[in-house]
Amino acid sequence: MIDLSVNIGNLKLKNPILTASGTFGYGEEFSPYVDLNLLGGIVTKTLTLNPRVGNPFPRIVETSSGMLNSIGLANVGVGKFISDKLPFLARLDTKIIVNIAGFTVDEYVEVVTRLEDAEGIHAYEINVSCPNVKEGGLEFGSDPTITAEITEKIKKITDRIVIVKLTPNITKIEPIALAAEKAGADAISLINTYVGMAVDPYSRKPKLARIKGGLSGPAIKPLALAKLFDAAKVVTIPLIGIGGIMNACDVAEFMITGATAVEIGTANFVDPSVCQTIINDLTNYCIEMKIDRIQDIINQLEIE
Amino acid sequence: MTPDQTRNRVSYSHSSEIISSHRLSPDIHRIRFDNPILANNTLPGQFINIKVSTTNTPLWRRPFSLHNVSKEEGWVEILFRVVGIGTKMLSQYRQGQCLDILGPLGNHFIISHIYMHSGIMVAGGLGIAPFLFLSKLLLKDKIKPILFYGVKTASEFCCLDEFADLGVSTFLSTEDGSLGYKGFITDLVRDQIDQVADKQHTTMYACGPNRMMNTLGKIALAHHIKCQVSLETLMACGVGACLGCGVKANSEKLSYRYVCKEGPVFTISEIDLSD
Ligand SMILES: Cc1cc2nc3c(=O)[nH]c(=O)nc-3n(C[C@H](O)[C@H](O)[C@H](O)COP(=O)(O)OP(=O)(O)OC[C@H]3O[C@@H](n4cnc5c(N)ncnc54)[C@H](O)[C@@H]3O)c2cc1C
Ligand SMILES: Cc1cc2nc3c(=O)[nH]c(=O)nc-3n(C[C@H](O)[C@H](O)[C@H](O)COP(=O)(O)O)c2cc1C
Ligand code: FES
Repeated sequence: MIDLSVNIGNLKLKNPILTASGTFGYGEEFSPYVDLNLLGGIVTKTLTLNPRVGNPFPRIVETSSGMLNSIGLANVGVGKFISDKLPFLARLDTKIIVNIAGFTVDEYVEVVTRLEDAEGIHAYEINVSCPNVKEGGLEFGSDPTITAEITEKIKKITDRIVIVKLTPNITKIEPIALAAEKAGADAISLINTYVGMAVDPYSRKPKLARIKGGLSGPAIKPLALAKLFDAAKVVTIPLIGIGGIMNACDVAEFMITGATAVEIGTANFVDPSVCQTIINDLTNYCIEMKIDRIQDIINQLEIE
Repeated sequence: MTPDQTRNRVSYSHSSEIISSHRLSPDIHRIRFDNPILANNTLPGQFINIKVSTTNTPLWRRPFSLHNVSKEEGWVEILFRVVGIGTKMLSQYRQGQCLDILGPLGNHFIISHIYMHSGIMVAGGLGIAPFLFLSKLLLKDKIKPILFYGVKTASEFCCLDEFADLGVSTFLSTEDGSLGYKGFITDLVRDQIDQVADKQHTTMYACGPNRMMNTLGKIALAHHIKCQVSLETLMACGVGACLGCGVKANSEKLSYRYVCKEGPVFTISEIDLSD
């Protein structure tokens, strides 16, 4: 019997496969395609305090082995999530990780406060990639001090696992990863999307209404691995790898580089049952490699 | 039922074998897939999402309307124009090869047996695709199918023989006047609408460029005819997850409707196609 389970702090996942925020709706959308109970966990679309309709269209564009999106955190808002979406999720036999964001530090805290009373949530993933309205639109996540402040304040009000999700749009990820760890984060997930852009050469117009968007998909996998490698060198808390994962071999690459678990994003669009396929193939990978416990490959990168 | 209430509950991903692939004109193709489950579980207006490549290029699936379906023989057909990399690849597959098809997706056109004596289909260009399937269903329900079909030039017409064989009354237009009425199909609809149908006992179904459908919506409103439109947008997922396929809702406060999940068929009053 192959053991695929892994631990994020005291949160035991039945396998390392989580869904990435914003690519798996609120779970229910994928129930025709995946047995949701087989997943290690579901990370929901970023929730903000108030509902958001999101950015104007076009919001998505296909690029070489990837895509850009500028959805603009369209979501139902924390209230409607608790009343309409959470009851479905709470019945599942998998871990529910609620991704949250705010446009001020206080808003982050308030979203978590509202969620604290709700049952069926196992962890929070803090999306620090929101533009900081007060500081003039720069992402919170590019500033170690504010990342630490948000993490600390949230840790104070919850006993649930807190995962801080980092942006790759910075020169060095190490200071931010360290700041999150010092502030008490139970785990770090990385990465969110890379800022990118596409232009129509005939109309001379940007292909996204908001001009720039976030790049995801296989195109960013090597970049994501490098950021994971850098973070793994400096922190000791568990890391969750994200970026361009399409199959079980990609998962193994991330785990060997230092990830305890991974999140599957854009791949869900290409094949809505991909997470289930990956979980099956991960068992086959272990059999082929004569590994009894998937945990044993974490951080086992062999450098000459 | 409104189109919104009919969104599909069941959907499958299947490797489907190509039974036949035909080039109907230099850039228009028709492919028939063997897929009995899909054929028996879909209605006109729904679409399928096809993985046209086994690599990451192109990455997304490509959406196509169900063009023609045989429950008895267990096949489905798509009709498409080559406009880019994905449709080009699709046109090059041959009989016997298999493609990964996801579907049926989305909601479907509503046919009301209670009040409908006729159904008026209005197609612009490749918007013709879902109407062969719809015509067959209308006929099965003893509702008279009427087709208005506009293209730029006569060589772009497809399936005219099939519509004729079914006995569909057909009105054609070309922008260059090479066949049928010279001008836009919406002008022909405006001209003929009083003659062709009893307005209380018909529904208009439209598929084509947004501008065409916006104009039709106004004609339908002026004549108190019910109107359902089938929309196209870019789609990354087709299953309601990416939030990339929105259209403006017809509401005071800015909001969007998502084409893959809440559509692709909408009643014209639900949405705002004005820009
Ligand atoms: C629900 C639905 C049903 C459809 N049914 C049919 C059908 O029955 N027959 C058919 O021929 N086509 C249909 N389409 C459109 C079809 O999906 C696109 O033509 C196809 O995805 C283009 O892929 P490509 O790789 O060849 O083009 P790309 O290389 O991706 O793009 C080529 C050009 O086409 C434009 N384009 C791509 N997709 C769309 C789109 N969805 N709407 C408008 N412009 C687009 C691009 O911006 C670009 O300019 C449908 C679309 C939807 C959403
Ligand atoms: C359409 C889309 C929407 C996304 N929305 C969110 C979001 O709301 N919150 C968030 O933290 N990340 C969001 N992401 C980022 C993903 O969770 C993930 O970090 C990123 O896509 C990289 O992984 P991938 O290459 O596997 O997709 C979104 C990504 C995509 C493609
Ligand atoms: S195409 Fe992804 S939500 Fe509609």
